[in-house]
Amino acid sequence: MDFDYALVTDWPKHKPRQRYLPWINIGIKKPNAKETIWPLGLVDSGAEITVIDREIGEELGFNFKKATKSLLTGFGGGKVEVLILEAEFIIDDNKSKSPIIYKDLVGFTKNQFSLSHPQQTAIFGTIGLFRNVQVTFDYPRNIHIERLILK
Amino acid sequence: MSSVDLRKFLKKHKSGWLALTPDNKKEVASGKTLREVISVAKTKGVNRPSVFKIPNLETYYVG
Repeated sequence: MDFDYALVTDWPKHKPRQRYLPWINIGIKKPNAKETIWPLGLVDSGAEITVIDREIGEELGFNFKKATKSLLTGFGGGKVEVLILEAEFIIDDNKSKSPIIYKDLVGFTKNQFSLSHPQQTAIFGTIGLFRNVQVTFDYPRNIHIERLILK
Repeated sequence: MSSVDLRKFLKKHKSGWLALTPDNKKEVASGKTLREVISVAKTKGVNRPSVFKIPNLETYYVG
């Protein structure tokens, strides 16, 4: 499966700055449910667990009462409370014969992402992505994902 | 491959949720809630919208 980098512009000190970010869509759903939501999120090998905005979990009908609570620590010491549950992930570039589908854990944010954080929707980390598939970054052209073959 | 150009969407919106076509090339809905943008996207015939919250890009991310 192949995905493009996302091209964005921001305006620090009123000067345009262009950046290519590894943002892709990965489908997320409650196991055995029908509805899937496709957030555009950051592919981040530095994140130990996938983190997704709580609103997505609510919309999909996840039962947060059954979640394991955890506190994530980011670079610089910032803390984010998450509610960890099992979800189904779907990776599909709309060109391949069949999608990659697997179940893994995901942390839904207890509250919203910090407003100062450059990602507000989803961060795809080791748990939830990298321990299930092989990811190759070819900056700034391509992010290649294929099924993980365990030896 | 070419990049997905999100610049025009980010320039137009400063907060809230966005729904785009699955290839991230066209905007189909914007709004305060995820439910709202998914609902509008589906009424427009986009059953698998790409969704995201408008980010703050003025800082770099290290994780």
